[in-house]
Amino acid sequence: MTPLTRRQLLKFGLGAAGAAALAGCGTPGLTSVNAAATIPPASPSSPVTLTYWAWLKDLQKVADIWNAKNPHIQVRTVWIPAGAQGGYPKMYSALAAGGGPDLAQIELRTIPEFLLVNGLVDLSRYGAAEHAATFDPTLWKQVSFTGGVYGIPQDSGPMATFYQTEIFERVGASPPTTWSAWAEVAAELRKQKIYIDVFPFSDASVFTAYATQAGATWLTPTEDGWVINMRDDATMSTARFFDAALDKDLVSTAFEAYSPAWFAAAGNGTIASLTDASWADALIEGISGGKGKWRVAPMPRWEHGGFGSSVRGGSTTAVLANCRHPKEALEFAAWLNGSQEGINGLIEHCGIGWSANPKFIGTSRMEPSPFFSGQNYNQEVFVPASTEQNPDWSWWPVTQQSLNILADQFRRKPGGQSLVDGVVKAEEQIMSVFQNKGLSIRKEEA
Amino acid sequence: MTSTSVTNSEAKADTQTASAPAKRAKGSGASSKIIVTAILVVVALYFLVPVYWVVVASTKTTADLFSTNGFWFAPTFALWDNISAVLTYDGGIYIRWFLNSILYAVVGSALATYLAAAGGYALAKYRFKGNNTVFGIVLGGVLVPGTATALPLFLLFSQLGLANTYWSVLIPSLVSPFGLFLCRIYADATVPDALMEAARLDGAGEIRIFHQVGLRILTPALVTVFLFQLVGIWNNYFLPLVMLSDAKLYPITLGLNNWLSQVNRLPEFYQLTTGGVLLSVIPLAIAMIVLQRFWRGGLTEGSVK
Repeated sequence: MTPLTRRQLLKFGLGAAGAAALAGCGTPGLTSVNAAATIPPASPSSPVTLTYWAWLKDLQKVADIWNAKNPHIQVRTVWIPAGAQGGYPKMYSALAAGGGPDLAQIELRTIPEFLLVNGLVDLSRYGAAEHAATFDPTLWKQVSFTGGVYGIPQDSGPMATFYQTEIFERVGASPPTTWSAWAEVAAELRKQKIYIDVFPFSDASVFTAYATQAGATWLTPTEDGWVINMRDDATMSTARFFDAALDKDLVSTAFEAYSPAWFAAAGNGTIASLTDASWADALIEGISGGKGKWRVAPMPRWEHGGFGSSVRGGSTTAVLANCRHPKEALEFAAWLNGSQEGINGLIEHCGIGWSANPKFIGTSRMEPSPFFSGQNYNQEVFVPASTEQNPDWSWWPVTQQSLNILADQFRRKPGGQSLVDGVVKAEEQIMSVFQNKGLSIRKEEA
Repeated sequence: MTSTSVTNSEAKADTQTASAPAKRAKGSGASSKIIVTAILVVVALYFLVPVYWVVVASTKTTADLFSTNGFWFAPTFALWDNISAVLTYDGGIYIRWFLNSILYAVVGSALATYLAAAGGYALAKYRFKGNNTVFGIVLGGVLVPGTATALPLFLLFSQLGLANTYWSVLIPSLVSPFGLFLCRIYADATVPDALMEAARLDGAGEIRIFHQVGLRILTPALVTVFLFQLVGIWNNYFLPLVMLSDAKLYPITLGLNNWLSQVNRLPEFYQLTTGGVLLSVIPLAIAMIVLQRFWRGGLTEGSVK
C-alpha cells in the first residue's frame, strides 16, 4: 500500500484547515508523519519501552503478561480519564507539544477526528496487513481510510435484546424477531403499564445503531471529500418507526438506560427488555433481584432488509504520531487484541466489551451464565450477532458533534417535531459543521 | 461535589450577615423577613441536598444504590465496606491521590498566599513608577480563567521538561491574581503609613516591617486568600489532567474521574466513586469549619472603614 501523500490527505478532507480548530491549539506540524520515511524497527539488542495511555482499568496486568515474554519490548500503561471526559484533550495537547504516548486507546468513532490533526500513524506502512485476517472485517473497515490502517480494533459491542422472561410470558409473548412484532409486544405490555424499552432523546447513538442495522451509511469517505446521506430509506423508515412507537407511547422517554431510575424500573418489572450492546450484561447483572429473570435473544430485524444486528461502542489501540517505535507498537497492539492470552487478560482485568477477534471470544465467555437463567448467551446470541453487521458503516471526523446535533433535534419530539424532520434538519447542520472546518462534503445524489 | 460543601458554608455565612440588617429594619415588617429567610433556606437546601445524597449513597451496596430511595438509607449498611474498598483498591492508590491533593492544595495555597500578600502590600504601600500599570496587568489576570492558561502552560512545561512532575501542578498554583488584588485593597485600608513610619524609626528594615507588622494586620485577608486558593487547587481538574500522565501523581479530582470512567462497563465503580467523593469532601469541610470565622472577618472588615 502506498502512504498517503499530503495531496491525497487534502482531497480526503483531512488537511490542515480543520486541524487547528479541532486541537484548539497548534498542531504538531502541518505535514503528516505518514508522509515521512518509515522508522526502522529497533535492533533486538537494544530494548524499547512503549507507553500506552488508556482508560481500561488494570491494563498493566495484561501488559505484564507481554512484558514477561518480550524483554526487548516493554510496555508501560498509564491510566487516563475516558476519552470524552478528558482523555482526548489530554492526547491532543500532548501531540501538540510534540510528545505523547506511543500507544493510546481511541474509540472507533473518534479515529477520524485524530486523523484530522495528523495524530495517528498509518500502520499499513508497518505491516498491519498481515494482522488483518485476525480481526473482525467490520471493525477493520472502521479503522481503514483510503488505503491506510489507523488503529488495531480492541473491542466492540454487537447488539441483542436482553429481556425478562417472566414479564414476556405474562403477555404470552416470545422475544420478537422483527421490529413490527416488537411493536405488537410493546402494545400488549402497555396494557399492563409496562414499557418494553426506553428511547433516549439525549443519546443519539442508540438511534444511529438502529439505523445502521437497517442498512444506513450516513457518511462515506471518497477521494474528493465526504459524501453524506442521512435521508436514505433505511434511516427514514427507522425514524418513522420510532416516531410511531413514541406517538403510541410504546417506549418510555422518562429516563435513559442505566440511569438510577432505569435500574429501579428494571428491578420492579416496569421495564421489560433492553436492546443494547453485549457489554450491557455486566450492567444488567447489577439490577437488584435480577438473577435468573433475564435472558438474551437476537435483536429484532427490520422487515425491509438490513442486518441481523448492530453495534454500539468499541475502541482501538492506536499508534500516535510521535511514537518512536511504530513497528514494535503494532506488534504489541496485535498481540493484545488478537491473541488468546491478550483477549482473556483484557476480559479478566479490564472488562472489555466484545473481543475484536471473531475466532476467540474469551474463555470465560464460553460458559453458561447463572445470572442469565443458565443461558450460554455469548455463544448463542452474540457470536452470530457479531457476524451480522453492516459492513459499510464508517465514522467521520465530527462524530460526537453530529450525534449531539441529532440529539438536540430529537429533544424537539415531545414538542411536536417528528424524528424524520429532526434527521433531515440534522443532516443540514452536520454539513455546515464539515464546511466550517474546511472539509469538503456533498450530498449523495439519489 | 467538593465545591458544594464550600459554597454551602459560604451560604451559611451569607445567612448570618444578611439577617443582621433584616433585624435592624424592623419597620419594614415580617413579610420581607420571611421572604429572605425562605430564599436562604431554598439556597441552603440546594447546596446541602447533594452532600446529603453522597452521605446516604456511600452507605449502600451497588445493588441498593439504584433500587432503594436515593434519600433514605438502605437496609444493608455498607459504609465501612465501601470505605475499605476505596482505601484498598489498586494497592491504596486513593490514599496516594489524597496525599497528593493535600500537597498541591496546602503547599500551593500557602505559598500563593504569601506571594499575594507580598505583592499586594508592595503595590499598596510603596509608590513607584508603573505601580498602577503592574496592578492593572495583575487585575487583567483575574479575568483569565485558569483553564484557558492550562494548555499554553503545558506546552511551556513540556519544553522545560517539567511536564508530568509535581512541579507542573504546583508552580502554576502559586499565583493568585485575585489574592493579590484583595491583599492590595486590604493593605491600603488597614496598614497605616504612620505605623510603618514608626517601625522605620525603630530601625526595622522593610522586609522585617512586612513580616512583623504587615502580615499580622493582613491576617484576615490572608485567610480568605488561602481558602479561595485551597478550594481552587483542590477542585482543579483541567491543569493536572493535561500536565500529569502518571497515576501516582494524580490529585483526587483526576483519580475519581478515572474511576467514574469505568461505571459504564463495571457498575461496582459507582460505589468506589461515591465513597471516594465522601472522603474527599472531609478535608475541605474541616478547613471551612475551622477557618470560616476568619474568612467572614476578611470579607467584611474592609467595608466598615
